[in-house]
Amino acid sequence: MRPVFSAAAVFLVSLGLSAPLWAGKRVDVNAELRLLELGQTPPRHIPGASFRVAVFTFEDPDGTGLGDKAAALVERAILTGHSASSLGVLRYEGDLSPRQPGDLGYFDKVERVVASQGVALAVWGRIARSRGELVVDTYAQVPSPAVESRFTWRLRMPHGMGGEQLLARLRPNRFAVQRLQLPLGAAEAIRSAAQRLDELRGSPADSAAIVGRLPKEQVYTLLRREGDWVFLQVRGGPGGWARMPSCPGECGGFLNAATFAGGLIGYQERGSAPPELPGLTPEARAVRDQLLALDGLNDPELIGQSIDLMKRWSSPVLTSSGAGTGSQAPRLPPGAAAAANAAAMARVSGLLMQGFNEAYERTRPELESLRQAVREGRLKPPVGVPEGPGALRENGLQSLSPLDIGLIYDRTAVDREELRAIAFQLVDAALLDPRNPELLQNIAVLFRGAGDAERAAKADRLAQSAGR
Amino acid sequence: MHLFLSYAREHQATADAIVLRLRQAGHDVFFDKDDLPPAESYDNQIRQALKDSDGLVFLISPESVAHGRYTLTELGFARERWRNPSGRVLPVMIAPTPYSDIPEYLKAVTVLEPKGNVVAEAAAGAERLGGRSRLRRWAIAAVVLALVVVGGVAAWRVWGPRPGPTRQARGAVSDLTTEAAVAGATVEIRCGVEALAEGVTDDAGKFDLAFASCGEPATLSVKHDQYTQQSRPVPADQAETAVALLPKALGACVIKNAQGVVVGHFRPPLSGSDTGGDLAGRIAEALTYDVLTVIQTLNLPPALQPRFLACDEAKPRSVDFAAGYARALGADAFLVGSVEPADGAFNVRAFVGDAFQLFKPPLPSVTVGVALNDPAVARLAPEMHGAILTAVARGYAERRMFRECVDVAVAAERLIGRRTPALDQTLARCQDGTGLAGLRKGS
Repeated sequence: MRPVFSAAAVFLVSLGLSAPLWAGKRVDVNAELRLLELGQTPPRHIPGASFRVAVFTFEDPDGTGLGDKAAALVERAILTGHSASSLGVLRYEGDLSPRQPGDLGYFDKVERVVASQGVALAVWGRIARSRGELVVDTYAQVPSPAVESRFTWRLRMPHGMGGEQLLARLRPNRFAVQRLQLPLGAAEAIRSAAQRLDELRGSPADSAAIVGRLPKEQVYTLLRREGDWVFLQVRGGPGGWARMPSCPGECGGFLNAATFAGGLIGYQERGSAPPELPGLTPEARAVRDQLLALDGLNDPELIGQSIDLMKRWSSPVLTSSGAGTGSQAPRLPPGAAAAANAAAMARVSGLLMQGFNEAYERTRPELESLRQAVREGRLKPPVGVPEGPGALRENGLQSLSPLDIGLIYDRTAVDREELRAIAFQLVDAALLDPRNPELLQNIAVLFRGAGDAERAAKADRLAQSAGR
Repeated sequence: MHLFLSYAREHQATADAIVLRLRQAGHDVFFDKDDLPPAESYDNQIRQALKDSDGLVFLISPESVAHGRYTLTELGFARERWRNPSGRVLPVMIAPTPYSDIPEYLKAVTVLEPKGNVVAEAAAGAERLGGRSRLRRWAIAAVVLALVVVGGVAAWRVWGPRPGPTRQARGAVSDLTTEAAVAGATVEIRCGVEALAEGVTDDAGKFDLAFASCGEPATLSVKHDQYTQQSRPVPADQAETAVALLPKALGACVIKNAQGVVVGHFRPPLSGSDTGGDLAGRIAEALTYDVLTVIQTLNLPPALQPRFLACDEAKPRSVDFAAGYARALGADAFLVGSVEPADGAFNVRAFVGDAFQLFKPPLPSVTVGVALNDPAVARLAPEMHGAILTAVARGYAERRMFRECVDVAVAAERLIGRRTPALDQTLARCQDGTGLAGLRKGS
């Protein structure tokens, strides 16, 4: 259970000062879009929160009337099931569907709205009717600034091999988290579950009197929990108990999408990947495994697992589908090129860890003179040294200071032919994702490290034009 | 004049059209940076190209002024070249862009905001580039020209006008969508404002007109009350001219300056059952929901995303004309179909034709047993989405946007769950176009 917030914390929040808080706000998305169209920037909502998540009304092409309800459930599930120490959840209400050919689609409109808010994650979805069922798709998108600041991994090559960085970014950053098929009867369950969320009661019981409702455009702060209830305090308004989100029967699985999304926020703060949950899409599982693999880049114990994990996502898999004409070519997993990139980085990291031991033996006789050169300013101290070799030290290379590690690392070499082979594999991956600039840049770095200047220059040019 | 064109790849099609227009006007335009030789660094080659230029045309769009884009690097090189952009730099707003996002260097000169034809206005604006030295050259040229004109008029008077030799203009007029001959179309040959000859196409759509050569390129224009008018130069070599006319009813269905898919007429059941109306509109809307979402997950910029346009007026006599309709309407793919009663419900039969002969005959799909008041009736099967995406991918390839083509083709493959021959062919062509093949082992 979360610690109870003090009145002082609420006071600080109300003053707009930065403090730990868990808060939510309902926002009119069309009002925000109008401001943006006028060239104005909407005010930042819940500015005191370290992390902000935006949840948008689900697209509702068949007019089920459940778009806002589904969003309300996701919003509250993230707010109450969060693992971040300071979180603001914005629930944007209003339809963002394209109205005419050429209108921005949902993902692009969402991107536009969240750009002014600096949110770490946006969630939305779509509810449609199909052959007597409700199909509920939930999507997540990590805005580009959040990808850049929180979902980017770097591996600097030793100076002896060019000193350039290999780079990986989370891809896809727009993906379906869950596709759920529910009986049409589940619509009523979603409707009534969502309705209860905005009712504030005098005590944590269904029988307690309703003392207020959550208003639009007002921040409400989660102050405490009790069983299936949370106490929400509206800024400058009433406080009361609201039910934790729950969806009875078959719609219960819907909340797994929110749990996964909350896990992505938890990852941004603590670095632990979202939990493995039933019913998630291959895209969501690919994202989760990418996080696990890339976080293992610097860990000698995990590097093998990282390589295996990413190999699985980068290799085509045979599928049973394929009715009709056409070759039965294996199906590509989602994010296959990004997984190949992560696998390549893991392989290079592994080679560098192996090479570090050798470099240590070679460098040891001159280590003192190198230290001296650094002290006297004749040699720049190494910066941006990966943690992998440091971790290796605990496994045998004793008594090395961070400076020693850096000096040895920059004298580490790996077999050029191995680098070349990895680069060629990345070229094959890039053929499936040629707009991925980091992939192309990594190819250039690897070819340069392997001494193939011509291919490196060509990859550089392709990377430049992919970023244009 | 040497011109440098700076633009974001998302607006490649507009850039291509402007370059074509400028080159037709005799200018040398540097713009295809993907073709740079590998000898030097990319930056140096761009910088040198700007040094060699008399002016820069900068296509402003949200993408071209976005932080980190290479277009801003090019602008930096331009600033090194011309500290004062006046007379040297022409910023052209080709997509709505917040004024605050436009770099100050560009705002220092008047930003051209085309009111009509972007390509024509941008090309006309570029004509005015070149700075003071160019103005001086123009002034000298104007004086020389004036002298030549005066001399020419004098010579004209002395030797008098001579009628030009007789020429023939012959050809055939057809319907762009069905390729059927169009009889009764008025064909006119003009020289400037002067009409030289006029005739009417016969039952086979043929025309054959004789006219006196007027010393400048003659124009042939074809009019018909059911078709949009078309004009073009009369070929100098007297070759036969094939003119394909777009039916006027389809004028509003043409996709301009973008990629897209047109959903044509879906024939309702002969029983007269209520279909809920506007099936084409509902299918176009469903495609916007379903296919556009797939494309957006690829992070394709909005300007590059395809449009889905309903056009109930597009009623081909046979599904075999679907490809012709796609070409005529500037669409990558064209859908048409029918609704038929079956066992108390309805089957919705749809066909996808495309502008590139990928699906020949058009690809069919049937959604069986649907109630017509059910919104799901407008949803197409995943393989239809896959086929549409394959055609859209091929459309990118035709515009030399090979990377986007690969992305969309891979998405189509994931959607269909296998590689169709059309997809194989499209993907191979696009991967080849990316230039990545040159990095492969053994290449």
